[in-house]
Amino acid sequence: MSIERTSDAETKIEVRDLHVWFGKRHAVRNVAFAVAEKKTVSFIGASGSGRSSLLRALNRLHDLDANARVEGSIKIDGAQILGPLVDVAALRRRVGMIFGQPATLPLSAFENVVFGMRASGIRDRAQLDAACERALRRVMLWEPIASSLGQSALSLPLDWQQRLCIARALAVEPEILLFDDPAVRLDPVAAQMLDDIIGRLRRDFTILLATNDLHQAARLSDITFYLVDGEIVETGETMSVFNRPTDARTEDFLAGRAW
Amino acid sequence: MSARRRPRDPSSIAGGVAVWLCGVGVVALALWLIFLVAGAGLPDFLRTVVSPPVAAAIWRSAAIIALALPVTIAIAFFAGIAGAEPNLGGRTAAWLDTMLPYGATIPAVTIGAATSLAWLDGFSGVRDLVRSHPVLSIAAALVVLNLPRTTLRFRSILRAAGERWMTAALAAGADALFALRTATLRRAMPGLVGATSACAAQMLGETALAAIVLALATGGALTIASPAPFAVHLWMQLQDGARIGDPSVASQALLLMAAILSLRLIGELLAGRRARLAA
Repeated sequence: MSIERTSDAETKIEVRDLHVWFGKRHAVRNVAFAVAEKKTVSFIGASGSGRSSLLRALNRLHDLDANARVEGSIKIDGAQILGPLVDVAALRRRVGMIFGQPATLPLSAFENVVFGMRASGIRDRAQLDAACERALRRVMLWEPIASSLGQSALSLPLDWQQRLCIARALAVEPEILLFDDPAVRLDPVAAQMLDDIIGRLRRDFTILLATNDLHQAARLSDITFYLVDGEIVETGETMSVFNRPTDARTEDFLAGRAW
Repeated sequence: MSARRRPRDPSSIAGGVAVWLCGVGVVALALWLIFLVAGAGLPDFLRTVVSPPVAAAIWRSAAIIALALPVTIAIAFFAGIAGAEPNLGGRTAAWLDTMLPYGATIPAVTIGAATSLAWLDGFSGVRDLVRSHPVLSIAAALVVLNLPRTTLRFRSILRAAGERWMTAALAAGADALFALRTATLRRAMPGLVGATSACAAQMLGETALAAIVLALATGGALTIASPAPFAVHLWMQLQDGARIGDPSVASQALLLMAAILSLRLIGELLAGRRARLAA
């Protein structure tokens, strides 16, 4: 079953009763939330709070782990994405994922960017060239590497590799972008540049950001969710969560007492 | 606060020294034997290798390996993929996880195999089949012997090469087959070629073992394959009273040793290259 739009409602993502297990470990517990189209949402919480597990459920990456089990409901544009009949490859092109460690493929920079397009069967060179340039311009990487697109992507600096991975996700024209601690391996200057890029992308995409960096969450997101042991314990507009948390655990975490 | 060094356990120091001495001793013994064989075999090497009985034995070995190696590699390759990538292997991956560690080196498996051979000996049809198709039978035995080990190697190579990139490729929207073809296989190729080379070396060395076991199990003589494969040919000469110091026998032993060590070395070099590529 391919994923078709079934509703024009503003809600882009709707998650209900979501549970994720790894063997006996209950990593995500009864999570429910909704995200409106073209909003940026951040998930904050201590390490092991279930931020990444939650994000990975949204593009079915847990399918790759025989030990993982996902239960509940995740709807994108009203269509259920959990279930055996969903075209998972198509889903992952629609819901792009950017990892903390740049997931650069052992291919040239050009082939990295157009990888998703080739995987979806696009062979037309002009189309691939145009999409590559467009995607690289969006991550401010076209000027630096336009003349060396045939070079191995693994030889690029780490921050460029991370931007290349974002370009790869953008090349297939996704609707949702998932960022899983995208700046965790970058130096402060590169992390700032990455924030600028995500800031620009906010206008065009629904973005879900799992981050350890509270400043990044405060700068970039409209809504913030705070997770403890796989449960969402606080939700709200980012400024409200950061300035007037309603749950004592959130307050402790923001004050650095729950690390 | 700096961590204080804990005093070393004297028994672990003694154990380490013992292991080191054993390792050095074994290597020294092997080198001494190699020099001994090389010294005796080199002067007559070329003449012995091209002599008709030895050449025929080499061709027989080559024929056996030419039959056994592609079958082993083909099955191990696809089983390795199924084991390394659950998206492609499905339940086979879990099944292989359980089965693969039980190779011919496990005593229970060896005893089971020996019992099966003894049981098969009761069937005259099987006996006749082995005697009438010796080359095929030895090749089949080599496939059975090497399949679990080679599949295990292939699976670990594919896993090591693909773990990181497979996830990246799948997350980028590729299906499992496309991800395997474009990301994993490219990286795994040196390791796979190395494992193939190591498998060929293993088969070359195990040909004699397979032939002898088959001959004994089916109540035949060692001449079930005539001309005998190279390793069997050498073994039979020693059985007939020849000595390893005889120039002709030493030349043959040198050739067998050089072939096995070369194939092993290629395997190790490519495995090293694989590790560097995966880093």
